Amino acid sequence: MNLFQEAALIAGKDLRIERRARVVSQQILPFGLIVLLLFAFALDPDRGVLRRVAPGLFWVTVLLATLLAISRSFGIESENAARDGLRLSGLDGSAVFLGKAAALALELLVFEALLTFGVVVLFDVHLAALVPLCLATAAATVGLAATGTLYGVLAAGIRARETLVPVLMLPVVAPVLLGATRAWESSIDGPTSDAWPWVAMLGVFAVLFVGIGMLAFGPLLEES
Amino acid sequence: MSATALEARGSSERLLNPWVRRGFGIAALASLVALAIVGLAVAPPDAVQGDAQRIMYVHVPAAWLAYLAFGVTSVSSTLYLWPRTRALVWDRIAGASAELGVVFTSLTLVLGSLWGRPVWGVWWAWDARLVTTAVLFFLYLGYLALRRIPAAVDVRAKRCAIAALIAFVDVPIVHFSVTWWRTLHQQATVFNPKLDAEIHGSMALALWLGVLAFTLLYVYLLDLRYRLEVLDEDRDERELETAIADRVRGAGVPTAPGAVGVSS
Amino acid sequence: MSDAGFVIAGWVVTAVALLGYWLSVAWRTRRSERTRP
Repeated sequence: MNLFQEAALIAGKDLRIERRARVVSQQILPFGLIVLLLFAFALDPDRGVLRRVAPGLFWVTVLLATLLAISRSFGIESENAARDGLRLSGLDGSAVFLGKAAALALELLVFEALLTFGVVVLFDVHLAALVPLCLATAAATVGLAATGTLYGVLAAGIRARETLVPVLMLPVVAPVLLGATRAWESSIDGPTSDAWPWVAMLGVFAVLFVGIGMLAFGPLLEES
Repeated sequence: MSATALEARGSSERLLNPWVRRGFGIAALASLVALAIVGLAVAPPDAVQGDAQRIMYVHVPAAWLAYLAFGVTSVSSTLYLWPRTRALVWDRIAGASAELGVVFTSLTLVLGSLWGRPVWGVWWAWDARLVTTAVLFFLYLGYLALRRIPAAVDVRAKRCAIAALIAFVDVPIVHFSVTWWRTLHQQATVFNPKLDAEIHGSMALALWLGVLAFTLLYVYLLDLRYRLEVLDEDRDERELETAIADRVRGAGVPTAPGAVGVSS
Repeated sequence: MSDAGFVIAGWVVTAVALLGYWLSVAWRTRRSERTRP
């Protein structure tokens, strides 16, 4: 089996588990919507404040949901000696990384699509330039999924995993938050041309962290 | 660890010869005193900022030290990860230096605030350099959290090394994005925290003295902190052996005579 | 607070931080040494 076939195998496994357990749709998505609601309580819903800060709120919510999704992605591996199973399976570490990251990315994209609907409805946002918006979202999601999977395995097997991953990962993905928010702002309000540099930066981040993940995941999994 | 092993270890508990270390310590203290004299008394007040500018003489050296410390952490982490140079000494240096880096980054931020308030009128500004420094602080604070995980020394070392290198790779990205952000949305800002290129005379002396003093202090503190790292590692190892021995005893598994608690 | 106040505060914070950290390392070292067999 080549790298992508092995990765597809792992991704398929994760997505099948998700389809049966429905954690993303029944827990993480409601969490996201509740967070949007809380933001509305915390900020002034009148005077267009929410509309202006909607991109930022959206991406902060996505970040928080990503932390939950990572916790879940590696939570399933800590039961029934699943990690031992991964190690003994003979699958390439890079393939396992790509598979888990891909599954995480897909789950996040579904989450984001539904959350976007929530933002459009609740915060009165008008989505205009869809191309840069979608590209930015895709690149940002890949970056988050890659970084998340990397830190997930780094903290795997450690008892303080749930609190360690956020404190390690959030500073690292600050550029993603920055770039995605600015790209959305430019796509919604400002000159669309402003979005492209951010899309490019998000793309570079994604490629970089997929690369790092492919290199480091295997060795980290061996010892977790 | 046996007594002879500990003794042999004794020499590797430190990076520097004791006399060299003391030399650095004394030199650091002397130059810090000199810095205080030059910075607070000898150097003239700034033409624009007045006396408030004197904070620069500790703020800039602190920032320099933070970057030096994190640079050392990055290099040491690389040396640890590289199979041919892998040795625990690099992991310990990385950890010790990271703690120093976090302390000096905090100091840099606080001093920057104290400088900014009288000169800019605000305690904080969303300037590219400040934001990048704040992110840097949190990146390595996370690294320090990772160092405390209960795990075998080599397992922890590898994870920390990878986390350190990710932080190192991320910093230019953060700096680049934040600079971009502030450039695209720059209002008519008059903030110029950059050093005047025209600095000379006793002001330049004070600055260089500061950099020298802090660098000497760094070497001294690194050696001290390194030893603490070695001692803590030993202690963790002993506690782990004790815990395992207790667990084995509790399970009633017969152990070979003299096998409990003995290692290398 | 006058400018001088900020300067003094800055230098005092520096001195306290450096001294404090040095003492922290010394104290933790002593504590680790004490638990040695």
